Amino acid sequence: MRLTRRELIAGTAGAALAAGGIYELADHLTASPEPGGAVGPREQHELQGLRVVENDGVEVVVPPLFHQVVTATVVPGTQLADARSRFEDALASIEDRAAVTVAWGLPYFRRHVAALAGRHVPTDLRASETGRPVKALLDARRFPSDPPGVILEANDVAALFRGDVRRDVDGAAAQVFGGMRDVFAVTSIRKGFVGGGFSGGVGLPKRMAVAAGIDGADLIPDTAELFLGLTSTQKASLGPHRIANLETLGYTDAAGGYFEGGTHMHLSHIRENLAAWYLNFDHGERIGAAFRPGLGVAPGVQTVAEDRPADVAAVEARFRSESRIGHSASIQTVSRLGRDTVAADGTIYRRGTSVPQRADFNTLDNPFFWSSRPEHDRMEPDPAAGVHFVIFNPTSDDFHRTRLAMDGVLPDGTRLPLPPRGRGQGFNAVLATTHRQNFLVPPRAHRSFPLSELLD
Amino acid sequence: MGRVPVRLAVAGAALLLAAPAVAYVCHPDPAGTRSLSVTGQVVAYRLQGTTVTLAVRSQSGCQVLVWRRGARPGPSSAACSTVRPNRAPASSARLVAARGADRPDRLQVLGRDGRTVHSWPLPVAVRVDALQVSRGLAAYRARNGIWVTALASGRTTMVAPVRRGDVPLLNTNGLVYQDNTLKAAPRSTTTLKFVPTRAVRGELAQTGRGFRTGGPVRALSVDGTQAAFAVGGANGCDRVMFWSIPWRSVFQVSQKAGPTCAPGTRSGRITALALAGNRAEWITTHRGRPMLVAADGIGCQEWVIRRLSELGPRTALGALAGDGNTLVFSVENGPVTTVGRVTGPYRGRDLAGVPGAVRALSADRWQIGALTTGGTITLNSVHGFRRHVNVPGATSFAVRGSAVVATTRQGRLAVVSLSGRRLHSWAIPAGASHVDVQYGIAIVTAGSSVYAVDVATGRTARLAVATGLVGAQIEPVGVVYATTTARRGMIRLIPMSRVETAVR
Repeated sequence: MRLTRRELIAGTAGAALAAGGIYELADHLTASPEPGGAVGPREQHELQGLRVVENDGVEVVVPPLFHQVVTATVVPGTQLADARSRFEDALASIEDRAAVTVAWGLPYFRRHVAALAGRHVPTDLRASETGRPVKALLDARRFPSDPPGVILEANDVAALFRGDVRRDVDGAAAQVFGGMRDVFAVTSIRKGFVGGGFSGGVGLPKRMAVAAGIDGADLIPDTAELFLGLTSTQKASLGPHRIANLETLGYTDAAGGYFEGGTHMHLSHIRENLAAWYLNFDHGERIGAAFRPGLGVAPGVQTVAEDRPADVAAVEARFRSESRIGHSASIQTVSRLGRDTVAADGTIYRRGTSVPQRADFNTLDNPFFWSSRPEHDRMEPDPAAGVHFVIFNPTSDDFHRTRLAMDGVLPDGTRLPLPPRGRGQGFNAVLATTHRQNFLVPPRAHRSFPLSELLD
Repeated sequence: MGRVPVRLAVAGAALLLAAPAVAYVCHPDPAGTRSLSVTGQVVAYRLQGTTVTLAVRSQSGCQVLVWRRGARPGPSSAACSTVRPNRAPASSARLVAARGADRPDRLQVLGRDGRTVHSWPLPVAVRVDALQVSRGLAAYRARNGIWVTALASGRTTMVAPVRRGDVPLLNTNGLVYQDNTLKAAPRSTTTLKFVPTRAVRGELAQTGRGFRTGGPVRALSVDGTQAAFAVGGANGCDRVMFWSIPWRSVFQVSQKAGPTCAPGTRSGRITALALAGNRAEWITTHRGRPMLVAADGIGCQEWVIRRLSELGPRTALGALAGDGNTLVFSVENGPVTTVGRVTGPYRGRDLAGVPGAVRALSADRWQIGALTTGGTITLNSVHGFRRHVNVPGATSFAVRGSAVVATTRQGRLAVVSLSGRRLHSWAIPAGASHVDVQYGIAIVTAGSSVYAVDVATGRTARLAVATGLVGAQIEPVGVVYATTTARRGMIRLIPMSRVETAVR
């Protein structure tokens, strides 16, 4: 269905679910489709069978091309038992076309299964060391570099659909939520794309940004995986199998519990000022901002090896000498294991292994493809470059620690005196977050209305 | 009365200025200003004494409110149609528009016999139909704001931006208008402000007063009613500031931590600066080579236009110039110099190649002139035409309308038509250079002195003597000049009325 963005913003969720909007352009820009997602393991957040290619001499995981997130609230009065089985059936019916990950927000647990959540939602043991028990799922918070007015959302559920064929991804989302309007009130639809250029052609980020008339689109490297021109799915920088699970690293007491095999998901929308990124930072400065200052990378390189993660001392030393930090270097002080670690299942993860698993994707949504509350969400009619940031960490606290490190709040308590969104703060100078929310991702067996079966 | 936030990028200014002008993090209302926000559209209002009666149309219909001093606004049973504006009569003054000619709009003050007592040049184009006069003050609409001129002195200030279509009211007690300072304010809300007359007089007294800067002044540029200046910073980062002269505000335009002041690669000095409207460009350094950066007074965002570190070792950034919407620069590359323009979206676009090195650039709306070492002035327009004017021995020049004014090594001020015909040649003080021209008055500097020259008569007057003179430019607001020592500087204004008096 062809709708303008203005029509989309003013339309219903049903119409928006069925519409491709500007993303229909991608149908003309991508090569022949590849198979969609497949039914995965216990961990519904992990994708199987992703290709690994070599780019600039670095192994890179090739993520699905198209992504969509649908957020919703549960309609008051919904019979959870019936909704659970219908939702599970709906999810199962689309998994031959798209991978789906269902995550649940604190409002769901508080409104519908409060007592059970109190017992079953894992406790974050690391965060509880100060004395007060802290759950693995926390309300989202604002961070020092967030612009004023960041919206902390309160959705019951978020479903992430991923696949290589846009129509399949759109169709899957429409089928799941379009058929359950009596159960879910859709609050937002968020769409986007990533990659497409590893085989040498012009990737989706550049082609879509150019087609949308985004300021700075012409400056995106042709084969860039993301708008900012640098690859983010280096194999070495993505958490390996199961590491982001609630129980794997012992961050929580989830082992043997209801949510074993699950994880935590943070979802945010971030605008990206592409023109400022490409005009005001030369290639060396972009590398320094994205990774670490002083990193020697040849001009034009997009994929940078991240096999030597930075530690707190290195970040602090660099800041003392240059008053700046790199994005990767600062977050690696939290996101990489500080020592060899034996997981709950006996797997040994070496020092320096990355913990979070990323699933972020670029978008032209501004800030969403569709919103049930366009004024509240500050919907704009024109497309804008941005990223729907999706990341899986073992707990909310773990994500918060990582995000704080990005702002110069290091795990040893050091606060580097960086001005919010200043140029010394890596990426932050060109990013502006608009929305945030934390979710709990249950294991596949409990992905539909978790804990509700215990009410039966 | 609340302070109205208008800009966030000005925090540094508070440290910059010592006295007497004040730097604003927020643009404050004049002292004693009353403010009233209503939901709906104010369709009419009248001012009696200090009481404002307003008709407000909202979704629930039209209602009349009475807003008295010291009291909350109260409803009135009167019909909205009874609220009619009561403008102060303007029999003692009149506005005269220049209508496109190269001269200022004027406020003529009339004596009891109807003869003109004063004729004050105004810094902006005015709406001649909106004049009101009361107790020695004239209020009128110009550009997007409400302006006031003192009849006796000619001092002029912009009181505030006002809503489109608003016709403010003036009486002996004060001025009332629909404020439009806060652009992000919801459209469904209207803010009415009443500024007492004594507060307006206080603002007039402050307008145009010079001020000291907290560091040395590196460069100065003036356009319209605004000046831009670069100030050396103690931490190694120079800053670019704007002085909005009629609105009495000074604020930082360069980012605290941006390309001009990049962590880890502290900038060198800002060596040149040009202002065009609300946009400025300046030259700083990046990786040891010159870099051209631009920004405006609203976006809080710098943009890198050219990095010579990316253009090869034989390149050099030459001259800068600006006027209105046109910001231009030149980049030397061997035997050819490229003249480029900063586009609206802040990209550098090459306009034309000029043989030789460019000594100076000048911009007049869409017309761009480049002076090369041989004394040839190449005129280009962004619309494509090109012509050459030769002024042998030219050391500086300014293009304005249909003429070029140039200083020469022979100590002359040459006035030449665009077709190359010499119109005048006036003797000027030895060593005079850095010419600028506005309304037929040229400004040159020689040593520590600033001179004005009437280009039609050659009449010359020294306007100022100032040790450490950085530069001087003439614009509709008057002559702005800057002086500096190694530690701090001074920015001053000579109003256009005084400049006119000196040479006419």
